Amino acid sequence: MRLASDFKYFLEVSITTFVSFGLLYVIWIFFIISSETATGFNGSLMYVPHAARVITICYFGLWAVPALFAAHVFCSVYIGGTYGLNQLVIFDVLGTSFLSAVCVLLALYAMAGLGFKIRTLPFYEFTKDSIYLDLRNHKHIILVTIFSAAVHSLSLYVYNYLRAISSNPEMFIRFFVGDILGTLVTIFTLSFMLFAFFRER
Amino acid sequence: MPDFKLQLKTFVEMLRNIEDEFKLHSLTPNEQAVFFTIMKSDEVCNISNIVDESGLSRSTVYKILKKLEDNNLVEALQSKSDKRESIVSLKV
Repeated sequence: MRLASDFKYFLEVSITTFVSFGLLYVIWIFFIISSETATGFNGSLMYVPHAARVITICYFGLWAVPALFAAHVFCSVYIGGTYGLNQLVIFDVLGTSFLSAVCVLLALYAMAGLGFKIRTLPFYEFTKDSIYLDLRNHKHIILVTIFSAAVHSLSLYVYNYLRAISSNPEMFIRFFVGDILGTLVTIFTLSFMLFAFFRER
Repeated sequence: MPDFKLQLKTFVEMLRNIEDEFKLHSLTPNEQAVFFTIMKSDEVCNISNIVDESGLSRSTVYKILKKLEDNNLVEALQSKSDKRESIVSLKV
């Protein structure tokens, strides 16, 4: 019985995560990449799919990681590939997708290590003098966004450097700014849409 | 085991908290029309522009601007070129 409810929850979380990441990736491709005349690199200055990573990990925790990884691989290969992005060998697609899928989780562990108390974080025992971090509060989510953008951009920069894909430090800044901006734009747009549709008339 | 529907509900509540913080939830459709007309203008906007673009009557626009001003969302200033005219700009 417990296994069945676990599996149902895992399916619900996975479908939600996969669809939300895919949807944001498609929106990003159409509104940013396809409007550019250059090779599309400036699109990473507002990378809206990072919002899906932050929100799903904050709300669903570890359960969202497999779907995030799958969505990242799928979008990179089938959607990004169509537009000439992510021309990487499959090993590097899997490597960068893994880093992207776990970057928010790594950021949460880094924040926990710095003294933030995160009740829902598994495999971590917080101390009494920690600062309470509520992953349902939008201000705290913005803080997680900044930390995760730093972890994501740094880990991808190191990976690209070690694999001799790119050694341009400008990429680190672009990814860092792009992840933060993209997440903020997504959250505020969602909030605005909610206001437009469900406001009392 | 966390409840999936409850998690979605808390997410919607989080989005609503953002609305509350930016005080957008209290605006009626007419107030929104005026607010977005001012927002769309480059820097400042005069009242005639708002009347033309929003399609509302001048008296309705005046009432709405008073409410937006009371809510600290816009500010009305006297035009430098024509002192009979008021110009409006966003405060947020």
